[in-house]
Amino acid sequence: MGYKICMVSDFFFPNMGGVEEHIYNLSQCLLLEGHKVVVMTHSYGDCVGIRYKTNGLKVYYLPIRVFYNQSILPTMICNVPLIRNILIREQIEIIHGHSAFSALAHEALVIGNLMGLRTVFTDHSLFGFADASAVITNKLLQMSLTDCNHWICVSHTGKENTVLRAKVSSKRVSVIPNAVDTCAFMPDPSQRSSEFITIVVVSRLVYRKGVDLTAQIISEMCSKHDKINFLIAGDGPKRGLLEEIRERQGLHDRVTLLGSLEHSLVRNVLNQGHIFLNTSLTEAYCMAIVEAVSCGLQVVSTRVGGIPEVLPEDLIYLTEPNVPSLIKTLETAIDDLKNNKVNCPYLCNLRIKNYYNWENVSKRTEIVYQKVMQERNKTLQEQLWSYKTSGVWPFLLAVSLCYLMLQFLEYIYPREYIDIAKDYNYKKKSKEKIY
Amino acid sequence: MVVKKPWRKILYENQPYPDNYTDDSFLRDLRTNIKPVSLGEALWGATLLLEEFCTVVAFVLVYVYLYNEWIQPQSIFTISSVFTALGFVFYRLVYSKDVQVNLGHDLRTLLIFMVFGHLFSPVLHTLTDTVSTDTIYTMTFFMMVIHLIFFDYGVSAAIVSNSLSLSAAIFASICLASRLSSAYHAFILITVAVELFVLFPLFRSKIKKSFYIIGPLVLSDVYFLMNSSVLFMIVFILTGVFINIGCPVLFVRYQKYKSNIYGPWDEAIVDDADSVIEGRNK
Amino acid sequence: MPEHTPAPTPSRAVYGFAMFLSFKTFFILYLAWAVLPEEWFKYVGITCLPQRYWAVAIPIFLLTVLAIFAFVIYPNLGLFMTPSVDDLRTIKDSTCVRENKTNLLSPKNSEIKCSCKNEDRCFKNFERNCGDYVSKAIPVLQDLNIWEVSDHLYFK
Repeated sequence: MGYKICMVSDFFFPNMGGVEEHIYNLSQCLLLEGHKVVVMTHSYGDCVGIRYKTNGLKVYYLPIRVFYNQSILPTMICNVPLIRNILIREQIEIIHGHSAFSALAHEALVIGNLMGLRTVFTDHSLFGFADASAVITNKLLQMSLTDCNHWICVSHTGKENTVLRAKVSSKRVSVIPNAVDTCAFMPDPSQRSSEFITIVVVSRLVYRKGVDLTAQIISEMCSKHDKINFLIAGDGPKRGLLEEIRERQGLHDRVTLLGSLEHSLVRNVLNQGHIFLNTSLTEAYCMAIVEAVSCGLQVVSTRVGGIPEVLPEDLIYLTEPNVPSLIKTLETAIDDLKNNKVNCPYLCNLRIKNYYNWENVSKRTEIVYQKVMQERNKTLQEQLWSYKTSGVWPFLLAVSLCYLMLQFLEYIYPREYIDIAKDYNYKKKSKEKIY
Repeated sequence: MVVKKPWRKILYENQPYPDNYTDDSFLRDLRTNIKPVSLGEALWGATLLLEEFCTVVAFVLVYVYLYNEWIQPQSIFTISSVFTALGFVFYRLVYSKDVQVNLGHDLRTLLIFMVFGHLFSPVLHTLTDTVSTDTIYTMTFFMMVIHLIFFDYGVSAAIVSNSLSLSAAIFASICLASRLSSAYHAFILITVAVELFVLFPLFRSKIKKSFYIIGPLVLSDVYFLMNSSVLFMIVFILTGVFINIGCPVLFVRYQKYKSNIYGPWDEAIVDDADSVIEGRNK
Repeated sequence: MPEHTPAPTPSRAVYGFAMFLSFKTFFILYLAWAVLPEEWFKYVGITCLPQRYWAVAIPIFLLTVLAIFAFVIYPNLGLFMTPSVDDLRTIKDSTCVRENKTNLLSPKNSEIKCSCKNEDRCFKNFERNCGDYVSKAIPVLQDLNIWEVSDHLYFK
């Protein structure tokens, strides 16, 4: 018997990114197991209304205005009627929110708790504590998710960070890593150049991903070694820095900037390289290095955040986040490559398939769902009492207002009058599976 | 009896522990409050604010003396020029490399300032003539507060804006200049404003935290205030004590309530590539 | 040190402390201005004070603005964005993915030479069965045609 799950986040297709991929892949695996999954997100321009994606994944694109960084305004009460209607219509039992930046997820989780549904939240990123935006976001996280039944983090460091930020008990946090689709990232060593050693960088070009370090490494490595090329995919505010380095040292034939890439084209870029360089300053899990190892590349990365937990020591070269040690480690990797002390790319792919696959992740997520469904319903008094622990008393007013609005909506638009949507049971179509 | 393998902090193996298992090593790398600020550091740091506050008070004192005609504008001009010249000579000889090259440039700037100052002083004198005195004084107060907030005390923070603080100070001086009796008085006041708010901070930024600056500054302010109004002298002394002694003591005492959190999740700190590359190119 | 690091830098400590003190002071001054009787101010010497009406009016104005924004303006922004029932945007749009993309392995897999110099340690032919991969692969994201969906939901 499957559960009825609603994935909520501000970030979903057509936006491209790690969280979006995660939600889509997880939803597909859960559908394959026989659960019902519905995705709720905000509209992207003309993409508004209801869409049906592969295997009957129903996506609600809600018409809500986006304010900052693809996220809606975090009022807790404005979207109550719409979300309530969808939750009743689809007979949702579990709400699964993603990403701490997503105000829609926070709102849906608060509403879900008040409606008596079970809630799960997945946190995908690491956060600081001291700057103004961090203080506000952490408090918001703590306030709205006090009552969340269970949390999921993508790495152990992420779990520590989340427990400190949101002041949630560590028993309620599970660690379930991301997974990668190893058949989509099959190695293809014939694409690699035989005379040059290509170093690939695939990331958004923002400060957080260490573009400053990459720029300095490019300038030093290109002047020290002859046969090294750089292939950089991705776009962002710091792109100008890399272009400037390229201009100043005349490296147009050795440094290629590809701009932003669709996720399906990343594999081709990765297969053109020998070494993958990751200079992030902070990273909870880092999908990029796992995808790179899956394609058989050697990986050189900074030792930050959750990266030391992701791969065993023979598949990754870890180093401190400063330019001299990164250069030294890159040279070690290049030497190993020249002396053929590298793993077979197909062996790497096989190992990654065993370490990180979506079946494993979805099974562990199902265990979380089972655990969550067994918890009992909390009364309104208990819920308000737990919201009090965050210390922000006016938030209790917002929650009470939410509750009153729900009761009011129950009065003017009762549950019995809402049409129940038909489940798209994709298994009936199993003979005509869409590839 | 089956002994479970010890839990390791890795993600790539399926360990025989449930996903929400919390090991004893949880949060072992958490560090809090690693470098508390000492009282001495806080006291010396607060003198930066006190210096700028005394400068503002000195400027207002110059205005009050000019307004009440307790001193001739020529004497103020002479005294401030002497101090500026001494400071200039000291600055250029001790802290600057090419004195000859810059001397021509400096003299030219001085000449331009004198000529244009004299030319435009009638305009500046009557600029805010029609505004009532109450409003002028309120505007001056707020402008000086803004000047103190956005001033560059040498601590790099996002809120610091040198241009805004300087503009506020000059605007305040123009506001006050209109209350004086002649254009020459206005010119003197604006010259003093430029010396105090542009040249003096440059001078102080080289001599950091020296007692030889803050001592004479405070004492002269107190002396001149004593002659004009005892109430304000008392307020000034109390504010000075609060800024320089009260606040650091509070700061150091409240540190035990702080909870700075450090750990493996911290973002690494790297130098901006632009500054490193420019530094190398020089 | 760049400004966008989220670490607790000393400048943040100092400016944060200054903000803490000043906001506390302003709050106490605000309360004093709003609550204390006028004679006490005259006794100290302050004869000219802004009207006390504003001490109550400004918070009420701000709260009214907030309430109107949250209950009227923001939901109506959403209502404006909602297309009408017969608008085609509720069914499909320019971001719809309709091609039958496949994520099968490239067919010439057997002709790819592995980069391993040592043939014994190469794992390339370890799992030749592509069929296994395909059935376990996650299907690519595509939009389903609304006719097929209606068929499946209501006619089958």
